[in-house]
Formats: sequence, structure tokens, C-alpha cells
Amino acid sequence: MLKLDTPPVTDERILVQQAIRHDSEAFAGLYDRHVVRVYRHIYYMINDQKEAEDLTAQTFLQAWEAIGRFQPRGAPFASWLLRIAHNLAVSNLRARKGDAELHESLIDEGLPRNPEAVAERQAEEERVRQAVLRLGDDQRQVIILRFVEELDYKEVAEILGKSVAAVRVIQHRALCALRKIMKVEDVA
Amino acid sequence: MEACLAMFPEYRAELRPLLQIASLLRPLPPEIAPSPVFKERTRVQILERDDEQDGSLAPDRPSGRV
Repeated sequence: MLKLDTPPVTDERILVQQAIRHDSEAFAGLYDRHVVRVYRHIYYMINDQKEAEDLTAQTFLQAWEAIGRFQPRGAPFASWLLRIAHNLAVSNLRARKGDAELHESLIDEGLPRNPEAVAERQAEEERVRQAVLRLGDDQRQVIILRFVEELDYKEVAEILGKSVAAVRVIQHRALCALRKIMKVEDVA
Repeated sequence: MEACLAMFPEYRAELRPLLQIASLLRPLPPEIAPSPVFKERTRVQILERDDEQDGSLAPDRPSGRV
């Protein structure tokens, strides 16, 4: 399990305020804090190391250009960044339509060795991954942070600027939504 | 999954499909991370982009580089 340090909220707010005033050192500090999380978020969506790096760079460059429009009283900075990352990743996915190749590194050593069972499991995981990409911002972010990054409720709540209770509710609704999306696909 | 379901028998029917979905959400391996070379290169790009922008945008910008 990878645990990424969640920066203290107060420090983060100060850095964001400074970055909004176009302090490049402050923005570089925000970059240092969030680059790994943004990269992994994008990687989960597109399964390609090189493209994940390109899109991570684009995410931060876009954020740097748009930082003057960021509203500190709205969604937390991390949530704003992840939304930019998501939009870029979706554009990338649309551009390469249907190339849903699974990355070999995602194959779990603990999975059954039976090739058919492995393939079936991978297909199911890929279906869920595609369904996650169709969730709204809040639900998608909670699902990725909780299950892909394996953060606990408190950590997710801090990152997204929500209460623990709200994160629990969003997670429940997101799992219900995923089930619904996958059921619809089964019928179709 | 069974242990979890056993804790909430009254919600078993509702929980099972959600837990099945959750079990398909695989954590990313910890080695999935941006390379140090990429991280440094992008950091430099961000700072260089700042230099390219109009100085009038940066009234409070410190003079030092990172």
C-alpha cells in the first residue's frame, strides 16, 4: 500500500494564497506535494506511463496558468487539480478511442494462475475501471482515493474538504452508481 | 467479504453486490509513480513558464528561483 503524505491544511492554504499572487516558489511547493497523487490518478485512468507523465505535466502547467481563477473558498486545491487531471485524461481517452489495453504491471501475483480466470478477472476489473471514469467528480475522486490509493475516510475527507460522514455517503452512492452502470451494460 | 457481511446480517442482500464491486477496484501498486527525471523536468518547466509570462502579473513574486 502506498501512503502519500497529506500536507497540513494550514500550510497548503498559505501556499495556495501565495501561488494565486503568482509566487512561483509557492506553486512549486504545491507541485511537490501533489505531483505523485495526480500522476497516479491519471495513470489509473489511462494505464500508460509515458502519457500519464505528459498529462501530469499538462495538469500542473494548466493549473499554473489558471491559478488566478482558483477560488480558495470553493473546492480544495487538490480536488481542483484532480478535476483538471480528469478532464485531460478523458480527452486523451477519447482521442485514442477504445484502446483499453490492460497494463501488465496491474496483474496481481495473488490472482489465480488459470489463464481463463485471470483474463476474466482482468475483464471485470477493466469494466469497473471504465465505470469509475463515468462517475461525477465527487464520486470518482472518493472511489479512487479510497480504493485505488487506499486512503482512509479521514484522509479522503481532508483532501476533498468534506466531512468523514459526507465521504461515507458519497462512497456508498458511488458504489451503487457503479453497480447500476455495470448492470445497464450487462443488459445492453 | 463474508466476514464483513456477517457483521451486518440485516444488510446482507444490499451489501453483497456493493462489496463485490469494491473488490474489483484494485489498488495501484506503490511502484506506479512518476520518475525523478520527469518530476524535476516538469518543475523546471513550471518555473520557466513563469519567466515567460508578463512580469506585470507577478507583483508579489519573489526574486529568487527555486
